[in-house]
Amino acid sequence: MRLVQRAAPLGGLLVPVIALSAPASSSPVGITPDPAAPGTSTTFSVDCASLTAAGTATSATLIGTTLGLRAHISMQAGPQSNEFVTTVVLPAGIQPGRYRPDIDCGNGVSASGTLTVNPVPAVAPATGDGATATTANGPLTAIGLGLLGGGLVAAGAVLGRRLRRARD
Amino acid sequence: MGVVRKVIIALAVASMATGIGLAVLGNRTLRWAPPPRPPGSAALGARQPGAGPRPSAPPARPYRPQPMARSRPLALAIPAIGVRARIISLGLAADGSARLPPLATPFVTSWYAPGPAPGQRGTAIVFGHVDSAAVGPAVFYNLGRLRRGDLIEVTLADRRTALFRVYAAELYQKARLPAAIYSYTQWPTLRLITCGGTFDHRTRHYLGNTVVFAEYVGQG
Repeated sequence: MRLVQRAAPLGGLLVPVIALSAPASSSPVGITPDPAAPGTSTTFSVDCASLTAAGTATSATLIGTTLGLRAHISMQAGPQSNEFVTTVVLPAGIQPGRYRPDIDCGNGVSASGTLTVNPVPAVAPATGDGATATTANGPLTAIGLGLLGGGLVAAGAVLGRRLRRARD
Repeated sequence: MGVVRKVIIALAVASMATGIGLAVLGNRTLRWAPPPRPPGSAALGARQPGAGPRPSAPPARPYRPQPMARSRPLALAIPAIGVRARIISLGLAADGSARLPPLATPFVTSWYAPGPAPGQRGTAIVFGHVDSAAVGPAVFYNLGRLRRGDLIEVTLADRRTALFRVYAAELYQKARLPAAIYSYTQWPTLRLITCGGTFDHRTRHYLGNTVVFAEYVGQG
């Protein structure tokens, strides 16, 4: 695990803020699923106790800017102390690639995890040419039914006239 | 007047005969029934993979339930609808759609290679045609007949097989195809996609997509 220290103002003083930047295997940030697809749900979790000296955290915030989400996304407390979780829907238009969103814990720990966004088809697949699809309302059927109706009307008229004459 | 009447009767008979002929010619469904549609099941919310009691129909041989390493899928078997098909690996086309096997080879399916492979954690996608003028019903014509519990076996390039079990099938309007059908899952899942629903004769495209959702049972 690699620790990165950076300075941040607190109460008018510059105090070190400890940030965790670690390989995926030991990262305090969990991302599920990873990789993820645009437009789908992704859950982020963080273990704010990954550095015991940092103390207990009462809140954590996912910084959503790099993912095209709102800047500060509050995370819910998880089942364990110092654990926080949130589920977001990735923007449908997010570009495929690798993202490293930050999570800030209330106890001063800052961590980031790597999320890979894979491309998914943006257009519904055209898997067929309609060879088996119904065409009962196709133009040939309509013309055929029209001719059939016309023929029936004409035949009916001739027969009706003949019957009237026979009665007379 | 007698001649006129005869001409009218002859025209009427000819018109009716032509009409019957055209009506039959225009109705090409006499040859094949439309593709079967799955019963509505709200698949994405109906059941999450791995949750709840598993359906019956145990696998024919022991399968180890661990997720698999990535390996290119080569073949697909769906005994319930008599499908045995080759799988080719394809990516995205320039317009953002998934590249598909040509309609001239309507019994070949395609794996969406930028995504997870069958058996890997995540969602593997396999596309197939529902029909083709070359043959009529194509490889995924009967996809809409699949029901919960039906088995799907995928043979991979490393000679292992990944077994999946159907947990839902759904017909979506293409215009409202939810992005969630591509959403990745922590457990390996497989989604088979083809066309379905009403065919638009003006655009020469189906208006819907049939999607079959299957969860990973194990590897063999």
